[in-house]
Amino acid sequence: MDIARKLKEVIVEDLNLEEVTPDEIRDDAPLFGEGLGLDSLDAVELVVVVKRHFGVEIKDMTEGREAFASIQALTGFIEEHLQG
Amino acid sequence: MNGRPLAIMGVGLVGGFGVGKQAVLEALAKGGAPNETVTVETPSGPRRLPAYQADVAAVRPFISAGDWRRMNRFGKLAVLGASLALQDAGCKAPLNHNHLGLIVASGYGASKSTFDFLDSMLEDDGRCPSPTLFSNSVASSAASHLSIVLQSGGPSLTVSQFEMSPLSALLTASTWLAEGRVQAVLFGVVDELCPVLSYSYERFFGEQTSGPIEPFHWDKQTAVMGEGAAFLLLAPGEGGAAAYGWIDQLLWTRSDRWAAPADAALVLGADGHRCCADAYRRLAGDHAQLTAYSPLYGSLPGGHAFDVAISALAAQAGRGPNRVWPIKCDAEGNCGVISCRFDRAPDAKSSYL
Amino acid sequence: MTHASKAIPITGLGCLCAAGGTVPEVAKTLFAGQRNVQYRSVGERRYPVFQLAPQDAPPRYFEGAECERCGRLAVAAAREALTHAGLTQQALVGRTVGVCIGTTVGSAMNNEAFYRHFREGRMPGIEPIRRYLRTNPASMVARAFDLSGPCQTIVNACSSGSVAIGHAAEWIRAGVCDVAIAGGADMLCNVIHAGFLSLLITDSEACRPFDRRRQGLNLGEGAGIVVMESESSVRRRGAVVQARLCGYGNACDAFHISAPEPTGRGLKRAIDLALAEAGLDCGDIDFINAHGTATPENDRVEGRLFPELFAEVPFSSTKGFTGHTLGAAGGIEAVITVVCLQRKQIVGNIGFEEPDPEFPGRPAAENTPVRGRYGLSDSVAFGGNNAVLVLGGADA
Repeated sequence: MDIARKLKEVIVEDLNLEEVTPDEIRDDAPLFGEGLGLDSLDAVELVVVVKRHFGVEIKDMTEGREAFASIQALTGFIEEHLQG
Repeated sequence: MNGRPLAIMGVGLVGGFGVGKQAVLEALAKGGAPNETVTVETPSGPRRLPAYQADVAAVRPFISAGDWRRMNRFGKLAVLGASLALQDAGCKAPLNHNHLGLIVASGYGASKSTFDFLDSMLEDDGRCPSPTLFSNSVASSAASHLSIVLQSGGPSLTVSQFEMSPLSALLTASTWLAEGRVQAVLFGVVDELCPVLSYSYERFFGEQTSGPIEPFHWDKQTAVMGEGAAFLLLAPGEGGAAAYGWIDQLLWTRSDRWAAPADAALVLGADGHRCCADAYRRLAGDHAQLTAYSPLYGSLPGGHAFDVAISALAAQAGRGPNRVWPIKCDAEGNCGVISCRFDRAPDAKSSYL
Repeated sequence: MTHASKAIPITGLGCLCAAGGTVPEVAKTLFAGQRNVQYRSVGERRYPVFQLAPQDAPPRYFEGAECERCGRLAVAAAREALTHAGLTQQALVGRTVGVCIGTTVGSAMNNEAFYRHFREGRMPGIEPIRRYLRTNPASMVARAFDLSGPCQTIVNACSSGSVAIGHAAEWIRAGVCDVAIAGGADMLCNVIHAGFLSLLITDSEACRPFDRRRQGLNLGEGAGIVVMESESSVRRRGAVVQARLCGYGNACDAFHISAPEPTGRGLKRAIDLALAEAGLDCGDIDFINAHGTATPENDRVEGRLFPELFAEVPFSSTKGFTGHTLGAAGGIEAVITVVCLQRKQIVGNIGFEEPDPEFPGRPAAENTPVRGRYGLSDSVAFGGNNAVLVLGGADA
């Protein structure tokens, strides 16, 4: 599974991002603030998205903060937890 | 009950008739009708029920892309109705002040959003309920969205009192203005349809859901589901001119204990529900001037606000009386009266915002 | 000095929650520092909650339909408050009594079993819908006491109970009614619990308001109701005044639908408005009953704002005893604030041990003597509505 690719697709779909396509999301772009411009509610929704589509649980936002830095960071987090 | 008049400075409406004042006036001229059908599964197969459905696409110019993606449909209905009322009053958002009170009244509440959240709870074996859907299912989410879009830091209120929601909410609008808590109140009703509601209609009323609404046919069940939003911008009524006129009396009473003045023009909230028909029949009595606007927007618990708004538009267009008594009854014997007089100064703009 | 003409007498108090089934029982539990934490399953896990003890629940609370519970709570607390006020059913005949009840669950059509069957295409019977239509909390209170005045069920999320009390006072001042039953009622509910869990703002342990290690809230259930009357009604029947509602302020953050505005600008505005209405300034306030849900964000706002505005004024959260009772919170905490005024003592902030270094002050960890002139109770709602009550002692 191309995790990064799938992540971009489910983020666009589940967070209702109408103005960007999965292909337009750069792997290293920040997800929050600048970049995709997601906010705190999107952050907790992203926890659910990751659980729903990858079966990986993020326990709290302290763990989430690092993982959510970018698509690249989140892909790494998911890969690590799928193997572990 | 409360003697201070409320000046109606702006009106915003969305429903099965369309969006805005012109759509209402066209429906008034042609006669209203359901604009959609919904399919409901029954033990004997699918049935199509008529419905008055609103289109929220017109809210898009009033909100950012981020708000559009975040907001539920209930919130969009509220923001659309409210934005139209503000626009009608010559006010521009964002307001960036705290002088405005926001009141959202609803009979059905954010039920659709509640069921959407329940969907997320029941899928995936309950492991993945959606926090966004939950946040939007909170009944006050529409008022929150509205305060954010308008950048309005004044007080807000969300009321859930079924058919009495508009009157109850207006009692507070009136006290807010009387006490100088705010300089104006943006008050409105939002009711939204959803599949559970359509299902309930069919189960409650069976074949008697085909319409049309016959509000004065007291012995028949003729309600047709409706949804929409009706907002008024209200200001203190003493002294200044009012674009449409005034709400001059708010009365919470019992339908078996009150009678309208003999020559009053009554606007009955009768919307085809048999359970309230006897109350309306008694109140109608021998009154010669009887109107019911529910055939324009459908049967919905917040209809009282629609009746006030449509009465104001009708009077302004010369198609309705200047002195009206909109009355709404519920199945528990409560009766709400919002009497209005429309001595107009149509160019009066809200100086309060 | 209070604006005497605005203050509305409170003549009766009623309360039931995890801390007890009546006001005296709740007071006893709180001042004894006794915490009744239970655990409840949501999905596969168990979480701390503050639920009613079976012996404290109203009649048929557990046996009757779930959707009736909020109304039953409101009726039970209203009954205690009316009895406390010396207002019998007979005394209410012919009077216009307003009813303002704040709630969250009490107005939500969230019957899980019904909806599960519906979405599975099993075409369930609609008795749950019929029941829902009959269980509006304010209407249930009106029916229970045969009242025919105006009703308002307020669904402002977590500020609802405070808002209800503020609005009922406005109605009395405006002559809409001359007696009012006001406060909030909310039940523990699986659906709402799942929602708060999804937001990652709950604690898997008993909550720790204002503590450095706080993780989030625990939910609770209950009701808190006050009876308010006009001064003329009080004089006519020689009622005993328990306290006065001196000021009410309400303001929105206009910031975000789930996160509080971090500087507390909405809360500060509501505080200013309530104080102005009461004709007071910060220095007149003897203590604060904080919203104090124990979420990192909420407590950060209050933990910074209170020491800044109210230097040396003790503040504490009582949610360590009650849990977060959502629509009921403002009502329950108004009752607790009145009790504290009467006892001239505030309840220690249970659950607090380690101060947060970000805060310029800390809550009162122990029961603390106070002058019983004025107390402030604030409720901060999900979605950014802030409601503040300034309550004065009977002589205020």
